[in-house]
Amino acid sequence: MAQTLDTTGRYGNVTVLGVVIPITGWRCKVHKEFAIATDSGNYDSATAQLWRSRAPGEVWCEGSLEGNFDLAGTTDANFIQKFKSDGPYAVVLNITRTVQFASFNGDFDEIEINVAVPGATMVTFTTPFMSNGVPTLY
Amino acid sequence: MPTPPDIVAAIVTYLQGAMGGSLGGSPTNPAVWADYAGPLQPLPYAVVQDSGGESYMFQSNDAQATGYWTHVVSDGLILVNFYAQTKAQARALGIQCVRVLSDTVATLVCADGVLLELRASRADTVPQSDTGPGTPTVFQRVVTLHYRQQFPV
Repeated sequence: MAQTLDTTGRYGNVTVLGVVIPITGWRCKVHKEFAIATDSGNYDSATAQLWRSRAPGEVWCEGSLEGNFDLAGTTDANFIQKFKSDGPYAVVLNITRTVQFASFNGDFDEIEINVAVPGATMVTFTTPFMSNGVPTLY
Repeated sequence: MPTPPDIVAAIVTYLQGAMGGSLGGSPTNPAVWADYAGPLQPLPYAVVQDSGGESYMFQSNDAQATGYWTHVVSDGLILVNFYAQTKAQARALGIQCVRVLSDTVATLVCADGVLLELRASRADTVPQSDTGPGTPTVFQRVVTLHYRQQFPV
């Protein structure tokens, strides 16, 4: 593929424990929690205002993976079976085939299997996750 | 090889390589044509068409220049028509096209824009009566692909 100015996300994929998981989508929200660190040193006598300072605190990411339930075993082996044991598991979120968004060790907090009658075309799953440890962002 | 001028030319060149074996193409009979194949082509063959109807989205100008938008993202449809002797053959060619003609597997470069996305969205079998006196019945399968392109390059 030629160099692109923007991208569509169609190449997005997820790797769990080194295995590329077929998905239909992922979403991820990166949080950075700041503590208020304002003190008398923030007072500006010229304007007679006290400026707020913030100090970095927790950093984590959370989101969800969505896909179609895979009877051949990929989904089951990587989510359902591992959900029974404790993680965390190495997760890599990819925007394209070669561009990663984040990698982290994450816990899967829920496994939701969705069967809709009528109108279902596929059995789908949703797996919320939260990082456990330091997330690496790209 | 020069860069194809547009997406139709790029797809024609790509399909000649990716599906040339299935279509029986040769240097004298490329089996994949742009827009129009001419009469009495040996079956099977393919015709790639740009259906028109492009729609545009604009982004603000990151260079702060005036007079034009830096980035235009366009959406449009490409039709790949397969003509074959049997309905099953036309369908098989259509399925092969869906598999090989995708931005996931095809690296398509053309001069008039950067291809962001190319995916098949549907396929139809079009009834065809005799295409001319003494000609065999032709079965046509039309694969519709959605493309998203950004320009200028």
